[in-house]
Amino acid sequence: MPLDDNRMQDFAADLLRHEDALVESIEPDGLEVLAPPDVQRALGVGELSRLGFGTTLPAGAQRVGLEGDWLERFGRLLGSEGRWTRRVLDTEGKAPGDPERMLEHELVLDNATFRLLGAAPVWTRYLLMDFRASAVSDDKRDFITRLGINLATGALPDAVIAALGSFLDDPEADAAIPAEAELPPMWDRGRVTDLVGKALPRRLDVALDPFVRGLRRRLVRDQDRLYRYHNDLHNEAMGRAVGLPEGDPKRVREEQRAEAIGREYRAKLDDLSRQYATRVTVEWVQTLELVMPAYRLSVQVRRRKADRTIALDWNPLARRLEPPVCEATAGIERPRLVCDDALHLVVPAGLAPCAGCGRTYCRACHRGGCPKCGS
Amino acid sequence: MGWRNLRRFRQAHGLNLRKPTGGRRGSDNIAVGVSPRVGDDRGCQSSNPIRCGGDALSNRRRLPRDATEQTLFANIEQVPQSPVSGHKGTSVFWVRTVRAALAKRSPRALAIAERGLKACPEDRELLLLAALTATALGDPARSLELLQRYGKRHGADPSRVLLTALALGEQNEYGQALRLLSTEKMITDEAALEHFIGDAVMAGWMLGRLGSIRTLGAYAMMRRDTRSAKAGPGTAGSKTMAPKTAGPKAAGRRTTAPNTVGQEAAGSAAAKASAQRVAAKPQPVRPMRAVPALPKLEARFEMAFEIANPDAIEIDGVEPDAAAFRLRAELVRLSLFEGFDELLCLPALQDVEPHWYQVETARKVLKQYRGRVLLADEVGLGKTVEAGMVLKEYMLRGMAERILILTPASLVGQWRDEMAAKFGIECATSHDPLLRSDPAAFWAQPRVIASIAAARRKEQAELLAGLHYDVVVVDEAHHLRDQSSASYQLVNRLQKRFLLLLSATPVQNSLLELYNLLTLLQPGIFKTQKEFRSVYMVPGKPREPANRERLRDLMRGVMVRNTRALAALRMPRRHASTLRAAPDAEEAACYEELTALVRAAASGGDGGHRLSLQHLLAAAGSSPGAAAAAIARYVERHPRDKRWRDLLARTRTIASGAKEAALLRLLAQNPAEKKLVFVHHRDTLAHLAERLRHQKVPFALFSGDMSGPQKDAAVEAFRDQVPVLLCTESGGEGRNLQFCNTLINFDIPWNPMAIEQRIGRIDRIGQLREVFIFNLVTAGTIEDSVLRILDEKINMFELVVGEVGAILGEIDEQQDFSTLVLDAWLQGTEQARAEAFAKLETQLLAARREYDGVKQLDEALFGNELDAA
Repeated sequence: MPLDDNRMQDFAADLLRHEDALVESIEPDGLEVLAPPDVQRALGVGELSRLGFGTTLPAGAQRVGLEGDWLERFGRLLGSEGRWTRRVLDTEGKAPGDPERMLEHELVLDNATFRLLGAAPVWTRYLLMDFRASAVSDDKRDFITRLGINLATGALPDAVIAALGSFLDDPEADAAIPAEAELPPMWDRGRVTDLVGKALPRRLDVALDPFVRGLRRRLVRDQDRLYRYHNDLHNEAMGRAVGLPEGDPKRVREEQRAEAIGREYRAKLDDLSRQYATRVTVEWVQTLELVMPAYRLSVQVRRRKADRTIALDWNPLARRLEPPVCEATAGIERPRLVCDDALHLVVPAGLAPCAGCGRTYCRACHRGGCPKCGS
Repeated sequence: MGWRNLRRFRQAHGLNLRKPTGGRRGSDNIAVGVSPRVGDDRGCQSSNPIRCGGDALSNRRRLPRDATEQTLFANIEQVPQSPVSGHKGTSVFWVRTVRAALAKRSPRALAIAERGLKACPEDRELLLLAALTATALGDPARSLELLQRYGKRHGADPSRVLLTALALGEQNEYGQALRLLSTEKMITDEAALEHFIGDAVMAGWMLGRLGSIRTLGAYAMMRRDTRSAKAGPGTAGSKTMAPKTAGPKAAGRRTTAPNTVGQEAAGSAAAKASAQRVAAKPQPVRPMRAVPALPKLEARFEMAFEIANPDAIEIDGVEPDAAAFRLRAELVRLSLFEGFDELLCLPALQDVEPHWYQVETARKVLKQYRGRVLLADEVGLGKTVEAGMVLKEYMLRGMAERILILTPASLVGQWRDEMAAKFGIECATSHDPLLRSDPAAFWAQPRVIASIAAARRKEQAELLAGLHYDVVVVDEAHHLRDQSSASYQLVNRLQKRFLLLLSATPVQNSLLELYNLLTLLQPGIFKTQKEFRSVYMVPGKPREPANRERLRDLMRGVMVRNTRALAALRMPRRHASTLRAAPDAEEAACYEELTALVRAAASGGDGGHRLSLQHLLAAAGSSPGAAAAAIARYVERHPRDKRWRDLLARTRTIASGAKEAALLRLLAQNPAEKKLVFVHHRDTLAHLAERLRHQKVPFALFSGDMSGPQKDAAVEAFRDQVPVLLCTESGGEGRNLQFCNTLINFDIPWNPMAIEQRIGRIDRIGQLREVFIFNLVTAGTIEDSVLRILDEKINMFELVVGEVGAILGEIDEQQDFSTLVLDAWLQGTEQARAEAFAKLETQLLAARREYDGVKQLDEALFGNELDAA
């Protein structure tokens, strides 16, 4: 991925200014910096220094680029700043057209019924957490993924969060929270990290799909080549063996050779597995607390004789209803089933029979495992 | 027949079969999340294990899909293959034949089973096996038909129920299948395995299908319940947003789906059609192949997720700072641009300026070859630097932690020094006594440089085979040319992700050597050796490729060879001359006396003793001063030997050696020209320094015991102020001394590689002028003999830096060259000495000739088409 012209330079200038350094542009593609002591220490530069970003350096300038440790130095300078902030977006009272139709479209439950109890404008709060992910195999892929939680409903509205991107990019879009607005309470950290631990791998899986498909394609190619090679060797050895009488030492030797080829084939396959094994390391980067108006739909879910009321928010900027999250897996798949006991909304796998004892149970009710056999 | 019965059956027939217990080695590595499988459900709608493997919707974690796949085929070789025993026509014969066909995933397994059923229509096991085969091969309708027949003849049987459920599952009748299993209490893995007729190789497949039936069956049953509830009273009038119901197609399928096993099979039109098809067109059953194919297995694809800093997650703060937030976001986005196009290692390199082709090679290795490549640059182009860059890059990117570098024994120290000095990679080496005292602890270290000779020893190779390495580097990889050699076997067995093979001369005697090397990198790239011979080799001419272009095409995928022509390296002309200084009588007498004493001592000494004798002779060859110091040390250890004390006294009387005068004359010629004087012995260095001071020759001193700034100051003084740099062996390593073009070897190391390293200090890329080398030797010394061989016989001073190593490779592998020299010198008689040196000459000449031949062969074979540009 090519880096845009001046992007590094613009970033460095913004950062230095943010850290109270005096920065002036110099030609060609450079900055002259009068740095306070903290900046000098973090960047390893003198009080007055020149930084060069282009192929031709200004006189006396140090080269700054992606190569080397400059990003590390900038990270040092930024320290723990920028880990959290709050944005408030206003939506000028936008409301959904037909909540019932919208609900019918977004919510599909196969073993329960539901009905809309009411809809009302509210203020809600999202936590948008950015993570930097690195997938390392024999290749490497780095990317940023964002996980958003609606603290009022517990929804993980990926599509809504993606649609909000352009509004969040506008620094002028901030508004004030009205005094009468009632925000949902902040979750405790444990609850957030639990949900992150559950929800993130499934989203990373989707984000990594092209990368993983590439790996798999190559794995299949190598695996097939490996098989052809060893199968040919095996056939050669066995071909020699079958031409010889039973018990002939040469035949025994050829058969042993064929066995050895089989063993080596398996060892090479193991080698291949290790070569393509992928480790995905995710690092939390920052959290944006987003406060904005929403339209809350109160929905009654009925299963047999029990019922439960859930809240679903309609986001006026994304103009979408946030689907409920599977309470067992927090995955991307929408929940389609409701459990009998607590009326949890889950995906089919969340209500599947236990592989150990065959009992069907709700994974959201029994997070520790099957209530019958514990598996 | 249940599992236990099956086992009894196997035991009765002498077959060993283990009950499947889960995934194979390494299958439990999934920390969180998913375990996608090669060729999995995303693009494969088939539930046929032969074509598709496990189940798309299985959410089982204890036995991941890959492990399931492995289990499916893990014991495949235990199935009787060929020849199938038993009399044709008996049920035993047919049961074993069908099992063998299933194990081999033969698409004709069903036809074989049908044929068996014709021969033995009453056999229970055969009937069940045929049903299993039909399901596994994607014909569940036929399976249900067979199971119906089974029911009529043999009545209720749990195995039949299980197979019926599997067949229904294949027909997407998951709800029906689940109900059936629930009724018969076979919904668990354990219960299903108990009644499964198939072999262990099919058990994994069965468990995968069972997982699907459980998940999708439960879902289907819930949907059905809901529809029933909605159809009942009390819901019609409610204000309910009814979910979409299944369409008429699904409803129709449900209504036609029979309630019992017999009915469903009997009612299946598809089953009838299938049966008619089978009846109308009986598949011809050809005899089984005499040579069974190797069972095809699937490699696992494992993916593990880890959140590195869950405790750091902040969810609230005090004062929002949008600007800092944006800056952090941009910082992280910038870090994503660090693709392989930008090498992170370049600024981290110390005392080395990589050439463009080396940078390109490193990039290509990372991006295109994905870390598995043969680096076959011509001698002297810096393969070690390329390998070091790749290693550093992988380390900086967090892609490599465990590194193993295998080299010839003589290069272990050089690799260690280069890795540490140029790349900041500190490695343990096989010189470490830990290798002997605690080999397991030694190999457990994350970065190791080992001599391949040490590593291939049986006990060490066993330890190494159990370890996993991110990167394995093999220097002088042509030593792996023989597939049956211990070195090849060692590298072949190592568990490694990235593999770098380094050799300037990968092919020496036969193209098969290339086949072996490239097969190590990518097994199967050239198919079998037999095929390689037939396609790429000319019969009777092992060095001549038959299909040069096609061979090169294949080689391009795994090999880089940069040439001087590509690098546009023009090395300067080199002039070497040897100045033989005649010693005065006393110096000559002392040397002779020393030689006699050393020979006498050597005749009864051990290895360590020989080393001290070698040191004595080398010191004497350097200067009388160094000789006196070495003899004094020897006398300290052997104070009773009067002959040595006398020799020490005589040697101390020699004020200066014959070479000193020659050196001063050289320095006096063209005094402004920079001259680099190499001296091995520190005593000689001190003596010469004193002598130059006395003669008022300005000079700078550079030795290994100086600090970094002192060394820098010495080089700076040499460049800017003084014409002479007195330098020990380590002198100038990694420093640019190309401003000097004259080198004087005041003493001569016995090992030509050491001489070459000295030359390499000034005869390197960046040297624009002709290079002059002067070798000073005292006539009649061991150094005199060494130089005669090296200079006059193999023209060592005409060789490109690096070629001496290539020539000496084979000789050095067996025994260190300096040891060979000492052996020759210590021969008891003049004639024996002459013969020993003559033999050494012959050996070297042969090696040189062989090297020239190999060079020509490799040039012809590889041309200029495998470079990194």
